[in-house]
Amino acid sequence: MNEDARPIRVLFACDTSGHTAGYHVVARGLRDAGFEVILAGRQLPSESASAALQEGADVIAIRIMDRDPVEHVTAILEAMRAAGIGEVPLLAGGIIAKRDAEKLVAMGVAGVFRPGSKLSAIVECARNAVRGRTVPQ
Amino acid sequence: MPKERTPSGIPLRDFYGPQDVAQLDYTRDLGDPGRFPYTRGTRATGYRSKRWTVRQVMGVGTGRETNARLRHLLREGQTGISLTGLGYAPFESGDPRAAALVGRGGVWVDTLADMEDVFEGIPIESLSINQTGNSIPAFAMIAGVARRRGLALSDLSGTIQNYVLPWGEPPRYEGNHYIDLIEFCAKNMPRWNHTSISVRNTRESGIGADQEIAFGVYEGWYAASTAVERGADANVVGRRLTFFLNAENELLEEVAKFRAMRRLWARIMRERLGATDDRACQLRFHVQTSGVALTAQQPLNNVVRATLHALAAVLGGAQSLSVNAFDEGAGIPSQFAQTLSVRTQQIIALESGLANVVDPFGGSWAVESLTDELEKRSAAIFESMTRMSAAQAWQYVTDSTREAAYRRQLEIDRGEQPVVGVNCFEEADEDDLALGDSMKSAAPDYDPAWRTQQMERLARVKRERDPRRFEAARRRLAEAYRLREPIVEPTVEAAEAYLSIGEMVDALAGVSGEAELRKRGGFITRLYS
Repeated sequence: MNEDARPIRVLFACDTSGHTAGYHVVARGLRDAGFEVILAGRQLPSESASAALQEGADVIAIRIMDRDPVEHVTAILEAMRAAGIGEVPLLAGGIIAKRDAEKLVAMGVAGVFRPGSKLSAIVECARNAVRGRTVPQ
Repeated sequence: MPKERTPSGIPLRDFYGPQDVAQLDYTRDLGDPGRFPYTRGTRATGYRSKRWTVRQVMGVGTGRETNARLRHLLREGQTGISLTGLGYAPFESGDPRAAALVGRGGVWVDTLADMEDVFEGIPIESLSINQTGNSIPAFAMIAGVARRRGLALSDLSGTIQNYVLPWGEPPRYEGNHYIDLIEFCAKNMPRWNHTSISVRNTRESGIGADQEIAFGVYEGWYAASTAVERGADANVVGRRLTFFLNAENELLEEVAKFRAMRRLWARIMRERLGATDDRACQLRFHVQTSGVALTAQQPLNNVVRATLHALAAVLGGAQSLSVNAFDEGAGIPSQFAQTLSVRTQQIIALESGLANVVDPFGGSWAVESLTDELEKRSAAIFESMTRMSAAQAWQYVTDSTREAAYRRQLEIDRGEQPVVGVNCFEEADEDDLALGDSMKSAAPDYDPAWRTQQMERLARVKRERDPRRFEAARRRLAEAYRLREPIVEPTVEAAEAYLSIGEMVDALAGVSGEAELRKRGGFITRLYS
């Protein structure tokens, strides 16, 4: 588990309210690994940023199905910066082509999870991203 | 190690023999193809007289990109149309909610002008059209295209993925738009399937074949019985109620699934709904092969997987088939991959010989035993659901799928469920496609300019439409909604006056609020809202 007193709090949002099987699987995987998961549902980028701010989220996770991953994540990162939470780690997963996944990583996304990813990999990435931020370098 | 059980949990024997099917009575439980209970098929001659429809689901960009792709697929031998994205968004392309979305999750349509683009140069009177989703504005626009071409609505054949949800208005109540659609189609469009029960996506979560059957027949029974409650004839409703099913990995059980579901549905229609018409008792279905079984890793493996899934559908007697494209794990299917899906169907139809004999697995001890066991199990689930309230039954479906999806993921993560290329036989460089550029579609899979072009197109439509006709149609639509009159005809008139989907939704939500509009169905779909 984490050395923090309280569990890691993750705001988990969807790009659209389309098929949600994978979204709920990942949410439950995070929960079962000890995370506090805020199931935000479909949100616009500005909504995710302000929800993360209000909830004091340690990490934001976005499920992408329909929207263009690069355009959508660009908007989320901008909204996070505008809300003053630009340093909160962002994870993205879903239907993301490899070339787009590489772009997202270059933009500063802490982890990109394409189909075939293990739950344990998502959990580990989220933990490390939060730890990397809270532990002084 | 061979598996001890099918994905539905049916124990498997080393081999099967006559003792495993001793309980079956041929006439009662199987019957020749074309004979009740249609276990062996709905037509005596099967694919010998009418092949399944090659109907790749598709929708990309705006009406123009979709039209180009559609024409390509039709040139390459596709024989029917299935469009995705129609009316999924209850707002216009200029809405902030449309950012990064226009043309990505299916074709984007704002107004009738876009639907005219979709079907430009395509003879809609001679091809059946499947509308994915149950958007009434999109349906109205398809009708509008026909009328503008001087066609009668009765000339059209196709399907709308309409179904009846229990948390809407009580069935008898005027204002239930799902039933409005059934009544409108039954009256005006005798060749249009007014209902298409989709359990394909439900199955994708990881539930078993027995649950796919059970949830499907439950939702079909619920739709038919609510329409009957509002005064429809079970025979009329049943004739145009169809299903949208999956084809998953376990080939033998999948073939058995389609056969078992035909038998169970025929019995439900006859015994529970009192249908006497043969066709009203026949389960007719479209199959879209599994998406969840496909992988982003080593994507060419998906060609093999989808072929096996397609075989299950054909051996099971599907009326219509969409073979998932091998690159779907990465995003919107490329034209190259979709063409290969058409070719897959053509090779099965023309080269494999499987279309030459009806129900070739009929009489296989293994398949008949699985068919019978699946029917028993799914009938028991169905029976238990009919004893719940409808809302409870739907919740049961949701809970079951959530649980199954999670269990499936854990099994894959632990390596208990092998997925070639993902948890076994992985390759270090799991390149996206490992394909040369020449194999990729010339068309981009996404272009941010689609949205700006679409916004300009919408602005032009609004400038050029007749403002008086627009206003009259908008008022009439809102008035019909307020008075709980049948909603479909005024929606067609609104479409013909070039109201956008966003404007129609706003007009109705202005009468009642969005929550009420959602309950009545057909205008705010769940996808993007």
